[in-house]
Amino acid sequence: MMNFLHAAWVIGRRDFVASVWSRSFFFFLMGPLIIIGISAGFGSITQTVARQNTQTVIAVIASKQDQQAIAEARTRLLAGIQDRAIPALDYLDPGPDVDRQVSDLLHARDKRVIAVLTGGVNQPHLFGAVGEGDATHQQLELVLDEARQQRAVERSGITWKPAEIPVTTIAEAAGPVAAAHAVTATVGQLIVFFLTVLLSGMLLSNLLEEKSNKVIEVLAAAVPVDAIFLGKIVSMLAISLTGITIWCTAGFLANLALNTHSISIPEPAVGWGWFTALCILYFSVNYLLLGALFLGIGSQASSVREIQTMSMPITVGQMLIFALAGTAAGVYNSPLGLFAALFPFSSPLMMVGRAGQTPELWPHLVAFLWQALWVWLVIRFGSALFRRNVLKSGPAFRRTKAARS
Amino acid sequence: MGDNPTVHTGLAIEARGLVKSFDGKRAVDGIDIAVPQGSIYGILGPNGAGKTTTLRVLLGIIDPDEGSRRLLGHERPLEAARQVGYLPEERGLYPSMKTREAIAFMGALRGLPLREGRKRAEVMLRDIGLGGYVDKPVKSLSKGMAQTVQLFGTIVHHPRLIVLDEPFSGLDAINQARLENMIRAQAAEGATIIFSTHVIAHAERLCERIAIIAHGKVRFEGSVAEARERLRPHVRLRTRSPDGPWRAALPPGMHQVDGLWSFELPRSGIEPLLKALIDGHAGIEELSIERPGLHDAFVAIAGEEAARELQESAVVQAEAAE
Repeated sequence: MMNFLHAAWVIGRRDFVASVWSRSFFFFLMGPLIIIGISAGFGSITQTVARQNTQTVIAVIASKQDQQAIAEARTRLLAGIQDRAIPALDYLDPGPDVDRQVSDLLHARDKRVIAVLTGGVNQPHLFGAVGEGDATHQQLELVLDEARQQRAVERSGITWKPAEIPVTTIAEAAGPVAAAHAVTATVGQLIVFFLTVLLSGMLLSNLLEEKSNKVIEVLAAAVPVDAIFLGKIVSMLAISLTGITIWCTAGFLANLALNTHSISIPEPAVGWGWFTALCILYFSVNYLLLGALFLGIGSQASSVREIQTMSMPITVGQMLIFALAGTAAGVYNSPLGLFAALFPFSSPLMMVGRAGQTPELWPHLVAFLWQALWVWLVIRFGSALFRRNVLKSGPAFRRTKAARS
Repeated sequence: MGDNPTVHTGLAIEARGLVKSFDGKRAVDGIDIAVPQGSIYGILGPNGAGKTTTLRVLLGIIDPDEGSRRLLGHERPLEAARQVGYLPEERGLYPSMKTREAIAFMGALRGLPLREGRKRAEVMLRDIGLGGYVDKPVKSLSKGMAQTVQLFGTIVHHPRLIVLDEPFSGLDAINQARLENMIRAQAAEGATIIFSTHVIAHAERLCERIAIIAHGKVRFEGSVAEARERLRPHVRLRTRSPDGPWRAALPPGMHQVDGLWSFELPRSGIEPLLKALIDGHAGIEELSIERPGLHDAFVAIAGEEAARELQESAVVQAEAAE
């Protein structure tokens, strides 16, 4: 056993040193920065474009008095609801030919007018590509109702006082706490999932180097294939954790330097300390599980092209597993929740979700042992596959390629 | 150099009835091999004879379909891995690794501490004038240098058993001679060496025992002398007299080319023949008795076709070295 672990250590150390001291590791570290930069850039552009393209504009042809009443009503309503819940209004004075004015507005390509309101507050009429009962139609009615009520109150001379609701804040209420825990659980799952997707894919091509430069023959003659696999996935995990540590440190320092506001996430059920430790633990186990599987599958490939072909179904598989764990996290004690916790490839993500929502710690010990068992089984499976299909060892009926000599 | 639990037989390698098939074709077909400890043992055969597969099975890289093998007394070859060095036919080094690290890494795989491996690597490289390449990446080395580095990686941990698959392949004459010296030096230090080759001269010069393999079967296993003894010595004779009663003393199967008689030494020895030649006034101008070479023995043992394949393999290797 000591020889086995020593062999895995030698292989892993070589891989770790070779990767971390290579130029490509710098680009690996830059990866998230590039992703964040591109995402931010594209996000900003698409948001602007989306807003320009989709925000509904309704032209209001009315007297100055009505324009003011409608604008004030809209402003009052917006104080309690989101900006995009009420269409943008473009106020215009009536021209000599209102019908012509309406037609021109609706046919003007440079303006995004989908409807035109005429008749002011008292005799409104809506022209355009909207139907009765449409959301836009109802929103506009809400604005006009508010304007009319305000006008009626002013005319009646009644002193109107806006409603004031006194608030007594208590520390915890079950509903919001559960909702907050669910948010944290989802955030934890997302982080673990994306980091695993981002980093574990590297393992698909991890044995390609050894196969292409024939080092695999030297390794396989000296140490068990299981030790090669274990060394490789543990070293890749170490490389990933090194990268994550550098990213987190850089992010923390950037946050301090720029004095930006940190994102507020509700405290998880197990507390921040345990939750962080469990997230690291489950990321590691998830990485080892998927990594062992990827290494086993990837080791069958003989070229980069084959690796690329394999990547697509594997990514889809990961998405499905994430969907299962995400769905089951909200119902962790249901049959679906228990299934997701038991199914080895969704178990780590599911347990992250559980840690966010319930304070019990003992299930995590059980889950960890269960997942560790599966890591070992998948490594054994991957190495057996490699021995049989690549090294051509084992029973003859599965082999497809001829001997070299 | 580690424990030695069950080597009582005096054999470093012992294999019985090894069978290995690929796609239903037997690459190794019932091979028996016994390699004495401390010997230099050659596996001789043309490309495709089953040499590499035999070595891979012996080392435990692949399992046999049938048969058993013991490596330094271990039925599971990998249990003896720390006492074994292996140079595969297709050389494998990490191109970006520094030369010293590559040697130390291969030693570390076999249990040698990295620090010690680095020290030994430096000494080995300096000893052959490659001290300037200690910190150079493997990719900067010539093919011959890279092969030398891999060989150093094979022996850096001082193995008791060294397995070399076509070690002379791709080497020029100078490096081949250097390798032969290295093999002899390792044997002199007590290591057992087994190597495969399709160049008869290497086997003849180096090996105490050989196995001749063709089409997955061992056709001969024993010492080089035993292989030669499969053939009778050859007599060459030139006489002044073209004919006479002495002709009756020549054995059947003789033939004459350009006045030179050629035939196997009769079982009765040379004396009766000499007497008949002298008494019959043959006028001996030239008489020589030649012991057959390993090549002749190979032809006799493995057949003309295998010998031709062996020759072709050797030509391919020589061209590759150029």
